[in-house]
Amino acid sequence: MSPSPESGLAEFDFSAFFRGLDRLNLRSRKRVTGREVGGRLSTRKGRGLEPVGYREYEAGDPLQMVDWVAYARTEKLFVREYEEERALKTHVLLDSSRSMGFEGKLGFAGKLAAGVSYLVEGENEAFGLYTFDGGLEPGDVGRGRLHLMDLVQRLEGLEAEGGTDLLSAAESCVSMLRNRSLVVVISDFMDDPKRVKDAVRLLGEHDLILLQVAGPGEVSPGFEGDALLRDSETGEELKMYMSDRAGRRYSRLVKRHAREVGRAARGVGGDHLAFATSRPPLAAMFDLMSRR
Amino acid sequence: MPLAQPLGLLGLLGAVPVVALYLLRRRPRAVEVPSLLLFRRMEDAPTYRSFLRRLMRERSLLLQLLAIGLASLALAGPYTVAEAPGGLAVVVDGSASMSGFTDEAAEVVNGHLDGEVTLIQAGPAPRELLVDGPPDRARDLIDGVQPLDGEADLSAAMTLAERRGAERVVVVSDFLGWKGRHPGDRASAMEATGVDVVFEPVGEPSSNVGFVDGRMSGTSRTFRLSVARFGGAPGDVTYGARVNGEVIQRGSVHVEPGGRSGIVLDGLPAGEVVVELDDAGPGFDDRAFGYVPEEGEEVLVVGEDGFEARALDAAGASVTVAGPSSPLEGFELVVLKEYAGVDYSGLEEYVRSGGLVVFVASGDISRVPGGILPIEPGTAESVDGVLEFRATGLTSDVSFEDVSVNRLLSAEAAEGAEVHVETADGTPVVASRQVGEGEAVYLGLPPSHDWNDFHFRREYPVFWTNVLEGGAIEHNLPTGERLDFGDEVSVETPYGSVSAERVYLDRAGLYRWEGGTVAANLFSGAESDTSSRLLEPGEFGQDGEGGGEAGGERRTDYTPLVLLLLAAVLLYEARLTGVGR
Repeated sequence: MSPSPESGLAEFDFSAFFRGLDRLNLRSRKRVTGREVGGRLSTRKGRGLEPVGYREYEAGDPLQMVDWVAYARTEKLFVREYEEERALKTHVLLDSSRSMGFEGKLGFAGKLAAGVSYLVEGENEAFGLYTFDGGLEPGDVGRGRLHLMDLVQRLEGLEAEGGTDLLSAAESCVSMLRNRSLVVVISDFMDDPKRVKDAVRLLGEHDLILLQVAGPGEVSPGFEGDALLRDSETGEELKMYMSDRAGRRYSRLVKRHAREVGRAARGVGGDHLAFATSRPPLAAMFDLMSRR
Repeated sequence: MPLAQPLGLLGLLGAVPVVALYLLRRRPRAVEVPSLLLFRRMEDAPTYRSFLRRLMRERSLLLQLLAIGLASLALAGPYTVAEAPGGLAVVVDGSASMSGFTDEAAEVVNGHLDGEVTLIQAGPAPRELLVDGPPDRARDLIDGVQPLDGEADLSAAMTLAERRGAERVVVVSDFLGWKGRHPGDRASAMEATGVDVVFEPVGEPSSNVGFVDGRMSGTSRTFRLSVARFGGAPGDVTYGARVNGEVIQRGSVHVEPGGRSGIVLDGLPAGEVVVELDDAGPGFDDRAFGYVPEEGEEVLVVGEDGFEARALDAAGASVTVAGPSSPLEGFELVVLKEYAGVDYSGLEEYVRSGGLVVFVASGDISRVPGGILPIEPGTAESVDGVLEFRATGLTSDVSFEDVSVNRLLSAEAAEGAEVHVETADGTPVVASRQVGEGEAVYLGLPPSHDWNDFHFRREYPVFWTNVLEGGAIEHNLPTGERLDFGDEVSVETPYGSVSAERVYLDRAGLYRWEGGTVAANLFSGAESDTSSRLLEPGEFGQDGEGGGEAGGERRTDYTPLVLLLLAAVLLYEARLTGVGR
């Protein structure tokens, strides 16, 4: 395995990729909250068409929201609650740590990020790209084709560097999100499983999709015999002898790790999809949409 | 387990640099991985086991060490020695050149007889004189065995001895010459299967002068002989020629060592011819025998007088041209050109009783019964092509590929027929077939300008000479041939009178029976060359001093087995390291 910090996205034909995505439409399964009025269902109660229930009047509530018929019956002031239609904001968290520089993972993840953003842009909804390694690098949230082009330009200049700290990135992200949003995390999730679960729990307040990427050669160690292993992110070294048996055990651990990440996502009502970088990005997007 | 070459084990020292190289490059390979996360989770990840354990893990190193060990062992030549269970077979060379060494051969054989023995005489084909018989019986037999006038296939006799289950084979020969496979190669193959082979050379190389080639033309009454000298000094060789016991010619020829000179006796009267060299050498090849028929062959041509009759006349035959009703008795060759009115039952009886008949292609050849015709005839067809022919007695000295052919009878070879000449698409042009004691020949080239130009070619009489001399009426044959009579016939042979249905021409000389005489000759330059031994004792690892290296013991060499294991290890190692991928 030889790492490359370059994502290779500068040479990627995004136009052709987006044309292939035109047939797709991304829809959230959860209701969202937000201040802009959009085409999605929100859990925020307020002025809308669909009544969802009543609550007692509180000081400051508009008088026109008081249900006077109920007052006539009960002599108490009740305010009718409606479900508002609110716009969905999508936040894409893209792992740009050094481990993503192996086997084209960063490039593949960048294509998925662009694909998700393109589909959201097609719904005329807001989206933003956050990259993270040891910490979070927030990006602007906006709408429209120009914003998408800015996002693509940012992706093209992306390089794999730094360590992975998903929990720290999740904490930063959650503190910035005021409304319920769609959060898409694209990473190899090569982080401590406990910290990954904590991060997922934090992000689980939002509609969450975890997209795990792995190089086809990463399901096995890729070497035999004595080796001095060096962690690409931390520089730590580890001597070990890789026998056939140990190689098989490593492969089992890779699958187990992916299962743990998936289980954490499902635990908060989110989705988890794992992709090998050998899979065509469009096919991966089709898989994603068929799950949504 | 004893070793033939213990020094071969020094090859084990080759393991030292291999292990040293392994230790030198023991430094682990540096590998950068995305994360150590999962590697750390592996139970045995950071373990360093003992050096021995690490060695055990290095399959490639172990295989290399095993290969070095096996190669050293193969060099050392491991073997076991066990008591031989018996199974002695003695092969005695029966070739003509052994004629001067029979007593010495018998003495050598007697030295090996200490139990049951199989005795085989090597000749053109091996003969079992005794199978697992007592030594006394073998001694009696070996004293009476005489060499044959022919070449001996020693390897075939050795193979027969091996098939009879012999554990030890003693080959007694002068090793001056042989036919077939080299006996040294055969011995090596037998040794590999655990059979001990001991070569016992007898006699000594000596110079020789003898007849090495000869051809008797009965039709032209000429005997052409070739005399060769092997070793010795150049000089004249005197000879005398007798016909029916009377000296007709004496003379001398000068022969250089390694050279040949010819003797031509022409105008010979009918009868038995013996040509003898004076003081020539060992004696087995200093006489040549020939037979000239009483008169030219009596030939009947059925049909009009034509090219066939003239060609046969030129070949020395006494030709009678007659119609189809002519009796066949008394003729040694009948040529059929016309087929209407022929008594085919009489013709069949004539052939089956030993006659020779030639069927010349004709439009009505289909009248001939299928039982005697060498072909199954069809219709006459135009052809345009070159004839192909095999080198047989009938095609000798005739260039059939130069014959221009316009028409041919479409035909297929009859069952049992031999095709000598055919077209590219397989239409037989000259074919022959054995019918009873006689022979039938088909000639698809009738003397017609519309059909072909064969009759205008100078080889046309040569073909008819071949018919006369190569058919059932051959009187001069090489030794090793066989006379088949059908019924038991009393034959006077060079080795006495015998009564048999078939007689082998084992010895050079004259074979007489009622109604026929055949002269047999060994004309073999290889057998006559007694000036050098072709196989020296020890040349192929054999011990010629009698009894081999382990008299009464059987030695099993495990080197081939070790080499086989070595090859398997190397193949596995190549597969592990991905050689060829």
